[in-house]
Amino acid sequence: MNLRRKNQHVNKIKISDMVIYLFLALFSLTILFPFWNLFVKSISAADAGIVDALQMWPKKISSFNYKYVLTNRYIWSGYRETILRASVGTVLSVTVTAMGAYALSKKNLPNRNLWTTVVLIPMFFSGGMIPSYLWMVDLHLINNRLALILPGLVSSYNLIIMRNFFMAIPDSLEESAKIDGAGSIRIFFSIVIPISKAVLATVGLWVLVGHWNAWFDAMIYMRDADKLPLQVVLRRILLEGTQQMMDLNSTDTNHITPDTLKAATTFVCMLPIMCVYPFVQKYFVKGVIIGSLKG
Amino acid sequence: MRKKVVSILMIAVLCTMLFSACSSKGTSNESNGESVVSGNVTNETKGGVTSETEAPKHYEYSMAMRNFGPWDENPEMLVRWEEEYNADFNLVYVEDAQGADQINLMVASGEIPDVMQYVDMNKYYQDGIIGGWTEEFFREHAPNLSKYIDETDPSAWQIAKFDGELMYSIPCFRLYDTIATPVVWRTDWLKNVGIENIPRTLDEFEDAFYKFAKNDPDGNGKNDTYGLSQTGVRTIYGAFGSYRGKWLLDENGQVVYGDVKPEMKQALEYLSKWYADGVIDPEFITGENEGGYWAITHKFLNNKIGYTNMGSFYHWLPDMSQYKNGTAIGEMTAQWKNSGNTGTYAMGYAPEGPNGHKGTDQADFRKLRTVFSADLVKDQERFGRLLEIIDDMNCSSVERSVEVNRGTIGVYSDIIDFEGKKAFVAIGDAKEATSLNAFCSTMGAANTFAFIEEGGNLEYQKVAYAQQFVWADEEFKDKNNGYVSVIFKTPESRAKYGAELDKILNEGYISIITGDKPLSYFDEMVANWYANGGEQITKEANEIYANEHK
Amino acid sequence: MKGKRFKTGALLNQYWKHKELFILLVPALVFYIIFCYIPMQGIVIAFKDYKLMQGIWGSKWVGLANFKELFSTPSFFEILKNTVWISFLRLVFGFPAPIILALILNEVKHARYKKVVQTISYLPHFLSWVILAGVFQQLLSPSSGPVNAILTKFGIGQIYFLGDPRWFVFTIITTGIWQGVGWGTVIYLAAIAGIDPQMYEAVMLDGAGRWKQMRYITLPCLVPTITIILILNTGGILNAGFDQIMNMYNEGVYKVGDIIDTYVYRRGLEGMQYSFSTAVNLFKNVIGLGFVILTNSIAKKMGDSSLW
Repeated sequence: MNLRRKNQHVNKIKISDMVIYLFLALFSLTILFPFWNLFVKSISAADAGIVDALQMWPKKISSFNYKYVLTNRYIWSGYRETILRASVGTVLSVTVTAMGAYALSKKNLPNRNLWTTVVLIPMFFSGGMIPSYLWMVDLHLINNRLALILPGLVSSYNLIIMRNFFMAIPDSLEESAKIDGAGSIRIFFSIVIPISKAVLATVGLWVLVGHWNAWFDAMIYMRDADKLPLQVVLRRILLEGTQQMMDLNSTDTNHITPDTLKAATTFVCMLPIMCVYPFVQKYFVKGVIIGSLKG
Repeated sequence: MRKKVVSILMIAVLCTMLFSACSSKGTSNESNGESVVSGNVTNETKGGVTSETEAPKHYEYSMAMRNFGPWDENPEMLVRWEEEYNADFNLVYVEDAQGADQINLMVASGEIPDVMQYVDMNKYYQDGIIGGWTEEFFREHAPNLSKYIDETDPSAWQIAKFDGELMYSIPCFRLYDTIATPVVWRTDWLKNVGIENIPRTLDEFEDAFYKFAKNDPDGNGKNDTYGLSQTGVRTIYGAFGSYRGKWLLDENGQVVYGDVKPEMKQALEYLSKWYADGVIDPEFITGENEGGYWAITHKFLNNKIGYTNMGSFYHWLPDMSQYKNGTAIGEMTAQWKNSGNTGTYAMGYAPEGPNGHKGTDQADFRKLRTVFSADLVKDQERFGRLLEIIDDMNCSSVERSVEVNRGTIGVYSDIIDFEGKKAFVAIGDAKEATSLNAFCSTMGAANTFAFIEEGGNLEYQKVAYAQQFVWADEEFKDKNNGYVSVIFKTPESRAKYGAELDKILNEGYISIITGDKPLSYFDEMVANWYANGGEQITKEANEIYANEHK
Repeated sequence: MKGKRFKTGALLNQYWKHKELFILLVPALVFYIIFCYIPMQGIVIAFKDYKLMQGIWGSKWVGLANFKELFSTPSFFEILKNTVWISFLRLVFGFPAPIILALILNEVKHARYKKVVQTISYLPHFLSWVILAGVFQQLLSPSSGPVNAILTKFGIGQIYFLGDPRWFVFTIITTGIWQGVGWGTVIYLAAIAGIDPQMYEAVMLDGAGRWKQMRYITLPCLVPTITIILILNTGGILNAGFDQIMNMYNEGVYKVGDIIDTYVYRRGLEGMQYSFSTAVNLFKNVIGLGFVILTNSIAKKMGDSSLW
């Protein structure tokens, strides 16, 4: 009886699976389409004409755009700075956020509502660019790499979401440790962190990508050209390329079109961060559910 | 209860921390201010000590110049000029797109560069950040520049006098802006629909547009072409003696905003008829450019329209690589050549209206590029010396200007003969560089010392862009006169009303053209415009006009 | 008096008892004080005529003049209406989209396929709207775009997605979903990964199919996350997506597409208006905070997940 029912399900599943797979395939195509087009742009030669949104193959392939971007002398220091700020920034952010979130998730934290409010207010009110800049001058953080990490160390949004995940952890898990005499700090690091990898990975990913894409802070806080992150370097390359429109050295075959250059910088910037995904995904996909469904 | 007390306590602790931070901030700001002042004092005393010797005194200048990119460490040209002029130039690099914000931040933190570009000059003048000086002082320290201004257009003196008396910037000129925006025709289309000559009058234009839209000019058998799109539309206004976005004089000599001049109604009558007849590309609202560099008209490239007013003349500059020093090419030309479009095009004339009016968009060729901090200007000796340096660098001779902008002659640059005219040419490493501007920027040339527009006078600009102007002078001779605003300064209350007023006009113009609103709506729109701040702006525009024409 | 001191002492005792918890919170609090609360004094420039040279405290007080200027803008109600309407549609259609996608992805058994689709779906998050706007302008062009070519084939006729006020908002919402849906799934996938597998086993024993598993286990387990994100998102009710609209709108669709941020941006082009833009931000955020408090109290009444 039970077996037959299961078989019926298998048949049903196949049809619904088909629908799901087809839908996702179409969805992926709509995304890949413009990406492929962008890629075509990035490998198109300047003298191959305009690449329009429908063109799926370059008329003339050239690595000129990538060469132009990658031979910029600040590009590698840009990568270095971005990786530095992104890795250090992410680790610090996730740690401080998770600690704060855990504390706020506990009902027995004194003045819990007050502290929650303290965390929430900055989501809505901030001084703006000028006061923040003046304050950074006073803190002597101008041209200091910490200026790219500290001001955005904790995001209230992330903290609240993490807090919510921690709140969902059943108390029973922590009880036994408490009985063993472990304090909150030890419980947090040895019990809570290991079972919260999914949300830590999520917030980590958000912070990481935020750092990766950030440029404005570096532009106003950093002075040395070799301390500028990738995004600022790429912006400069693009700007240079656009100003080249009136450049006396630009000939038909030797000139940069902003379109193709922009496409190339997009890929130069995106590829490394794309490689991070599989590592992050591991924490969701390897979830208990898949295993249990298979079993 | 007890909880409340402790909560209050906690808040109190927070507040004290906040307040202490505030107060400490206040004092540190003050000390910032002091340090700036004392810095000047030391400079002054330095000047005083050395003032007895004859050689030019040694001064230091911090400068935020509009460069193409950051500089090398100890850039070659900078080192040369520092030695030659016995001065220290401390360059502050600010990004082009965010330049104004970055300098605002520096000013807010009390670290004001002596020399500033990018900034909102009028605001800086009103806030007392920049300094003003007399014309006599300027004439004394910058004789070459003074002569240049006198000979080119003496009206430029007045635009630099923000308060009507003192000069707050150096008037200068840009050769590029002496040529109005081009109108371009598909000549093969004209031939295909049986029109022999490039149209001159509005009637001829109308005829050509209708044939482009109806007679399948590209011969592909499809009804997929139009006469004109976004940029073409704006040239039509010129045929009626007005232009959108320009301040113009009416018959009584009053300054009026072009968009609300009554002549516009006639232009709109034509345009709405054309739109209804399918002559204007219905996508004219989103424009001819489909992303990427702004001056590319995809509609024109892709055989959708046969007439355009996109970009400036130099975007249409032909490939000049056949000349021995010719390298430049216009962006549109390059795209056209490479797109594989086998059609032909030619520069045309702006449409001439029933009353003989015609013209396209043209920017004012008078410019103000650089301003100086109030502290610097107050220090007359230091500032006077800087004016002397500027005068020599930017305006003493073509050779000097070439070296300032393009590097040492004989190493990076040379002056040769091109079609009987003097022309700059890049040599050596500069010639090999992918981008000349970027290359020159890093070594302290390009715009590093461009205190006036293009870093040199018109004579220099003719040499620097020789090939472009040899072509343009020939191509655009007597073709188009442009509509230039009669006032230089932007009316102050545009900051307050501008967004609203533009919205009224942009929406109104589009809805009249597309037929959403009848032609009679024009009068309502104009009344609306005046009522929502247009009156005030117009009043200010007339005051500015009076001041600029003293 | 004595009692009070005793009670104060009791709370201090609480702090002492849970000092480890509080210590965990301290780094975050220090951060908030130094990098959020201290610069927050800059808000006063909303009530001042800020001048760079005079500084924040030295500039002249103007009271509510900057706010009055905003409210007296003739098109203020139009841009407010547009902003709220676009935000509202984003909440109604854009908010559930990643949840649905996450649920669908959760149903994919083929692990590699799932991974690939997930990775692809994140991609648009890395494209700036400057680039995307160009792509969409060409894709959606009435005369030459493929989307309209398909529509014409089906006899629907040409639609001017970006230039027709009747279609503009639809286009903004749809392309917005397209861009953000994949990135939005991340948090829900994390939440799904945290569901106790025993719960599924229990209903599977009862013979529940996938639909029922989703309906009775996955979705209810997601509710707390959904609620919190929804509450937080209502705070952005007056931020309708500046970057996207800035790059996609045009004069023809101001009527429906001009939002507070784009309007203020155009205004700001005429020179530095720090006081005005601070005032606008303050207005937007006070309203946002109001919405968060409102939705929070509704959520509190309906269930147990809320901010406070």
